[in-house]
Amino acid sequence: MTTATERSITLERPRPLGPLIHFLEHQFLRFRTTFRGTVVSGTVGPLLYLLGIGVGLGSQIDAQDSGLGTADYLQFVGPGLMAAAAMQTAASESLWQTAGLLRWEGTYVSVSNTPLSTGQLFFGHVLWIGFRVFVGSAIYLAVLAGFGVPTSLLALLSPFAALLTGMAFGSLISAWTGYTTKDQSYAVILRLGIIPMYLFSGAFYPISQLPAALEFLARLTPVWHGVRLCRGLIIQQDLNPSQALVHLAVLAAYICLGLFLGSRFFRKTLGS
Amino acid sequence: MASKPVIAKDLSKAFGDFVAVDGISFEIEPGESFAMLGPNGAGKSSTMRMVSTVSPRTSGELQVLGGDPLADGSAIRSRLGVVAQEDNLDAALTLRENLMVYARYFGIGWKQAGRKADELLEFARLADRAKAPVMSLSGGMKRRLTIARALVNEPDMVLLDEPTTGLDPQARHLLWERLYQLKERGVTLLLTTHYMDEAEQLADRLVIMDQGQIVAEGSPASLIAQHVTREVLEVRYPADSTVDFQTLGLRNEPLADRTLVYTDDGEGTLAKLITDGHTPTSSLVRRASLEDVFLALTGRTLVE
Repeated sequence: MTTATERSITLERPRPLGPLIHFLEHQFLRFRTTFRGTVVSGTVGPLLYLLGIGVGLGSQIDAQDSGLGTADYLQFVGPGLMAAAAMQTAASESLWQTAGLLRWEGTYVSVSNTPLSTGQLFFGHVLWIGFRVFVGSAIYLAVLAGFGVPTSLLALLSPFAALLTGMAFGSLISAWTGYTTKDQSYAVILRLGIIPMYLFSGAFYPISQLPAALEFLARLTPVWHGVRLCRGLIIQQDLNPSQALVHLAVLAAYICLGLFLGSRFFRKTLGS
Repeated sequence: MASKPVIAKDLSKAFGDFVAVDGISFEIEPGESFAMLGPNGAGKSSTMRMVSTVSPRTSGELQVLGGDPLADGSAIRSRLGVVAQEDNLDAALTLRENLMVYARYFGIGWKQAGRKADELLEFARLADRAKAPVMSLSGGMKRRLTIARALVNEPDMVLLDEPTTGLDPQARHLLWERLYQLKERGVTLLLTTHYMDEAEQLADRLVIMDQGQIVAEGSPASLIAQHVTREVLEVRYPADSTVDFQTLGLRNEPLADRTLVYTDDGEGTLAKLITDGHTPTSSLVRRASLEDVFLALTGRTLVE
């Protein structure tokens, strides 16, 4: 490289993580304008679900008799819903929202002309989705605590489990958004991907109730692992440390796959 | 003196079977204002994206600011300013925030970023709107903000892809004035355009591109001198007219509605046509332009 000309500004020595940190700063600045709305809807959403399903539907279910192993249905379904909500938040951030940043409004196109690399950009993008999910999950946990659901301080770790669940979905679905320009496919992903996973995630009932083939498929989805982790952490049900490690490893593997695919597809989109 | 900001040798870019850039070679001198002129689809933007390091080349050699875009992308980008065809401004932020956030990516501290943002808003004549949302801006203002954004890192070279496309004449002239100011400061400019007047205004030297290849290279004046005559006489005749310019010994280019006659003395040639009994229904004598060069080289007009 030739030497740079004289500048009135000083450019920091490029640090490996520098541009990534600036990317997150940028996202925080964007977030300011929508933060309040996120907190309000992040509180109202869980309240409605927990009241409607946990308390309302739960009044018709005898948790002990049906073998859920919890005091009541709310205790069973609450932690599961938190993981399922993490998936939904990540999915909605990864489709139209991401296409807007990557193509329509092009915020990512402009930052790709800075020292930020595409790999850093995609990693930052997924981290940011994880952060959004974390904020949502922390609120979810607070609402659950209001209902008296958590049984120990381990519950404080559950937003991190939700964060990983969100990053798994965020990376994989954002990779898809980077791959295709066909935004009709986004609605298909929600209807034929996210909603079925929501229903068969083990949030509402143990997946052992499902036919064997379906149960097998349900075990493959990232959301089931997230549901197991959240429930295990919040109500200490059915989760020993080695099982927890397996769930973490599976989520980590999905995140790695999503990051690998996503940075490739983003690079291709941003370079064309 | 620094080495050449851009050296391209047999540079190509293919998307599947489609060859967008077909083995072009050119070099840009430090401080030079260099334009790529050509119609849409000539390969200008693809070249631009290779130079800006975001699009990998298919074959050939490319050196940008002394580095290889494939290996030194981040280091090269830290010294480049890029104005893409789309403004891609962040609608969630104010004008000043747009500039500051962008400056941060280049490792500029918050305080300096703020100072730089104010200075550039002044340069772009947008200082009074520093706290306005981007959405409230007109097309020309957005463009000026995009150019200001490309300058936050005080780049050694600024790339401008079709900088004034879609702008009204007044906005274009204001933009040209700002770009001219940059040029005066010694910043190397590389721009693409399909407006010949833009190339004539801004470029010290240019290449004319067509179908992925460079068909001519030189200063605007030298290209005109080399490929066409000093003046052009535009004449219109009724549809049934039988004027044969060839036998009159006049170099010409017939267009759909008129004929261009290349001549060093437009008025003289017109007078001769009239004395010979070939009085046109209308006529116009003008200086030859890059548009004529493009037409002479490719048989087609730039903007169709």
